[in-house]
Amino acid sequence: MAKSLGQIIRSKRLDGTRLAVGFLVLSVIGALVASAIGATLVSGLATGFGSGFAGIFPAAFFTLEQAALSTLLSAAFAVPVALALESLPRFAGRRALLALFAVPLALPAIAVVLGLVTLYGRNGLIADGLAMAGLSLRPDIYGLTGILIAHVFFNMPLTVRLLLKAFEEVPQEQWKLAESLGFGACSRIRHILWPVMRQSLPGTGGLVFLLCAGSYTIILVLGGGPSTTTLQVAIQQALSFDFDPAKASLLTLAQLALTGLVLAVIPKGQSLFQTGGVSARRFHQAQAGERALSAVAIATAALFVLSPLLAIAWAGVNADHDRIIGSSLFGQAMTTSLAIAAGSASLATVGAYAIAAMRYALGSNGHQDWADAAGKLTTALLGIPALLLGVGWFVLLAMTGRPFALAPLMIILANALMALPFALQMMSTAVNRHFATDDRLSAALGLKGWSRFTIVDWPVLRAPLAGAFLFAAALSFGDLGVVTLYGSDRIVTLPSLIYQNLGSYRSNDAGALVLYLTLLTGALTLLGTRSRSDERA
Amino acid sequence: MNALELTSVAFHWPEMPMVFDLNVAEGDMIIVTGPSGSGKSTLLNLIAGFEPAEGGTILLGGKDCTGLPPSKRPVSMLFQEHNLFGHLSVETNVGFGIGPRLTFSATERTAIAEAIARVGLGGKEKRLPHELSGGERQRAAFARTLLQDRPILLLDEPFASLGPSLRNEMMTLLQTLQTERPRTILAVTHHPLEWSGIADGFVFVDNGRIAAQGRMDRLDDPDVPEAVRRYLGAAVV
Repeated sequence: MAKSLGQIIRSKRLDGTRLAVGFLVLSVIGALVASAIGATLVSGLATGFGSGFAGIFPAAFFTLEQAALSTLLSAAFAVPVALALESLPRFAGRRALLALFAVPLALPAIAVVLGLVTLYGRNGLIADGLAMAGLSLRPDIYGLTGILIAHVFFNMPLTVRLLLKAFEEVPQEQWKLAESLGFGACSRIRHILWPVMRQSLPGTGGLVFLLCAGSYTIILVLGGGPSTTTLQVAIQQALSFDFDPAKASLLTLAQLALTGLVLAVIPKGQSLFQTGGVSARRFHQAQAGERALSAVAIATAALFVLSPLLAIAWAGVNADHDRIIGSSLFGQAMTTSLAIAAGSASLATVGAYAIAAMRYALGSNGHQDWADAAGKLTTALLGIPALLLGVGWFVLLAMTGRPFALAPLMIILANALMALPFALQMMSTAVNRHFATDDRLSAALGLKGWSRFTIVDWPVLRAPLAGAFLFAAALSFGDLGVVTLYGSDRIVTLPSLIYQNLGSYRSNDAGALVLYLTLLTGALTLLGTRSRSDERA
Repeated sequence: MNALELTSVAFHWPEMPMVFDLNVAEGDMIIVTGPSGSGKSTLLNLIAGFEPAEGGTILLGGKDCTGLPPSKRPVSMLFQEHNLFGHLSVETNVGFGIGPRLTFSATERTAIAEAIARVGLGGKEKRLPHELSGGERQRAAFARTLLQDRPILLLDEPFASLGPSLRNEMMTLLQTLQTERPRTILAVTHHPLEWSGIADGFVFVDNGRIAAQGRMDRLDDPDVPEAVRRYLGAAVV
């Protein structure tokens, strides 16, 4: 039976506390986001938006153009790869390939950029290899080409994984039917897989488009020229080169409007089959030609994803590690990055725990719809690029005359908000299950407050909370976002040090730093997902 | 001649080795019954070719089909659901019985229309599967097997998701089609007594083996194995 919130707070002290704390956390988040957007709006209006209008349309156009091209290319590459994996259901390397395809999502964008430059750049491994073979081809990866390669690197594997997931929903009976009716590869694709793709590709494409339209680091490093500047990169330029907060405000609002527009028009993915035995079993034997084509598609994709990873390792191992690790700048960057990661991961974990507890209290007292709404509100944070929060707070602090005063705190907050939805998703199930089983027993034994947390909650929830913390730390540690709004003389993190080194052509040092960054974020992600699966087992 | 001869056909699930020996006479309608997980569906999947036999021989219509792919066997199969492709009309789905294509000659189109009419779906050729009732969807699937024109028909609980009266209608339809053009039919069911009026015989699968086989009127005989009587329980009495 649904109770009013007042009744819950009066009758059940524990659920009441959960509601109050969760509400407080959501309010603080709301205030932080609103103040950032509000400050941007006010400052923009007050100055008549400065010279902002000049650059806004080219930047907005390029934002959409690169996102559209990235989406189309990712899909065009992903479809044959997904079909190939479908046509070879007993392919032995399937698990390994899908594990490889999960790697890009855990990689910091700056690391991938360095890997791609090392591989495809003017002095990259491919160009050098061709030169040795007597072919002089010096490709230019900076500009649209590089941006597209990087976005396809991130999103082709994602699209493949989502397509395979959609294919798994095809009922077993349809695959048997296809065999019994004598379908060949073409009929199988046309009558079984194509209808599924038609349903799921728009939603997947929408997600990829959104990710690419919000992409920042890749375009900051690989683009940035007059014709390859997106709104977000223009914001960064307005603040750190022109010191024109009004222009930055206008661009920020344009980016927000664009994100909102994209969110409104992208189709939601829907499932074709309501029921049916979900099964990965297939009954066909691929013909020789089909097998050959599939092998080519799979090999190409594996090589495309694996080679930049190898390039990262290659670029890193040859550096002068003693000198780099010994330098004071490295020590400073490492300390700052770790401190920021620890701070934002703590905030994200505590915040997510409070929201998860509130959602449990709402759901178990008959307000599942409100619990869902709180979840959606948190997920909506994904639609607000961290950079925009940074700009808003920058502008807000600039009104006090000291825009750089709280730079580290701003970065911590922005990263925490960015990681919050992931942290919430990682712990929700465990929190709900734990509260549902142990609340009554704890109450019967009179356990409450801190002693309840240490005796009942912590031992059970330690693993999922640690998982959320580590994952949030990895996200924050590898992120080159808000920090680029502040000059390098003010604050240096590991990603921003890499960015600096890339900008001044010290690619050896950048390579080593990227290797450290990749290993550290990789280890954090691995530990994070491991402790989560321990909890499940 | 036997339409179907299985000799020591083996298949190993990790937990349960299965071996089937079975003969079915041409034109017989046989129900396959037995506890859940006993191997009824595996038996049908082996005959249809969806599971590869790991030993033994499968003769269908006197021809060795042990290693043949499903489309090369003289077998049509119907499932409980998902027998039609959801994005294609009744007409196209039924047409797949002739071949996996979308365009048909004038004679073929007439044959498709006749098959649809024979299962009582005349006038619904252009409908999509979701615009049909559950019973109508199974009728369309039956029409397709008519065009496939294969002498053996396997039914894996095809009426299980239909209500009692629709199930009776479908039984009647099956009976009518059977008198017009007899096929050898194997039908998996958990409700053997519903078939007592129309089936010729029964096969009882237990623990990966054919535990009993007989004429339909012998189901309640005192000499059927204990396992059969336990499975049927009070239903017989």
